Amino acid sequence: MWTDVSVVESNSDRWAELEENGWGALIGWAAGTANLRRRPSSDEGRSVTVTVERGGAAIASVEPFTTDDRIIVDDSIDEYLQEAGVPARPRGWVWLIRVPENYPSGQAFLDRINTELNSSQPAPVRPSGWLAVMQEVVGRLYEGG
Amino acid sequence: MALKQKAQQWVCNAEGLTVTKDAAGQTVNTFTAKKSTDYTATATTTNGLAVLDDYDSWCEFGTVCHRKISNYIAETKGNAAYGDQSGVIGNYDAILRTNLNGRQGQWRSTVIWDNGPALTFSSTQVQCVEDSWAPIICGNHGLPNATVTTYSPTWRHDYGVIYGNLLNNADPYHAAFQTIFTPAGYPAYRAANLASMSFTCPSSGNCYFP
Repeated sequence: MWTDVSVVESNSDRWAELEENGWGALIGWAAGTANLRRRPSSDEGRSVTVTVERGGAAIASVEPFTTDDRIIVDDSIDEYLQEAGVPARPRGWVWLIRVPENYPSGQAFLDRINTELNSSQPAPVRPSGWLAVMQEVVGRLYEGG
Repeated sequence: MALKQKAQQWVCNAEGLTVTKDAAGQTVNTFTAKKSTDYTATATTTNGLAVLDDYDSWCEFGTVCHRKISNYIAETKGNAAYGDQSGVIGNYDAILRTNLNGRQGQWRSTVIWDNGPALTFSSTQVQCVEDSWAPIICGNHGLPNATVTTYSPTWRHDYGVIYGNLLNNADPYHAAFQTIFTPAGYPAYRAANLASMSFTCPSSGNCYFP
């Protein structure tokens, strides 16, 4: 499914960027190919915040985001998907979800999805439990547009 | 300081010195915080951080380091030395990585033998703490016992992933890696908590590292 997702070159307010974590990836899977797009990602200029504590003092610094950091991020997403029985995504992409017409912005749509998911009772603990909930919530929100 | 006091059992980490048995062998559990002026800590102490494929290559020598890798991932490493009245027996590292997904934390932890006798870690858990006006425990997640020694591949142990509870309240949170370790041929030591970087769960939306 992931490789069937169309590539877009430009930003649009009708496509909202998913969170760069397993949660965002699983929402994307629940949305399905027709409601998903991707564009090439870049870590250029990205940084990591480092804090060193010694003797009650904390010293903060900023370092470049490395290829190993990228691997940590991608591995964590793959691990989350794997637990849900979902195949790993191709790496090197930003993933975007379609925003229905009845939402004023991508953020408004993402907020609605998260609000509905986070009010689920009982709340699943594992990604495999969340997948069915996400498919129900996202599918229902798309019914209106 | 522990050697000056001839303490029979002590652990030293970034927060300070914990003496669990004094020179007379009495259980005392005294803690002395380190003074920041005891060190010439600078950002250069993190020079090895780019080499992330090996957790044993960064943040050594009695420090605690946090790396915020993204809005949803941060890792914390602590290094501790322990000993008795004769001096340092050994030291080890503990690493705690937090992944945030929705309003839940996931944790992976690792212990690494640095030197000294083989270490057995027991009563190990990752504790989720809600940092409200009075701290609230949001989960105690036990981990199996593990032994690490000098001999590859057991010098390092990676624990399995922990899936935390849903965090309903709007508060800052952190996790703490807690363990008791027993060096071969020595009594058990209680390690100081290794506290993760703090993260925020807002009134609505998902949790993140600020």
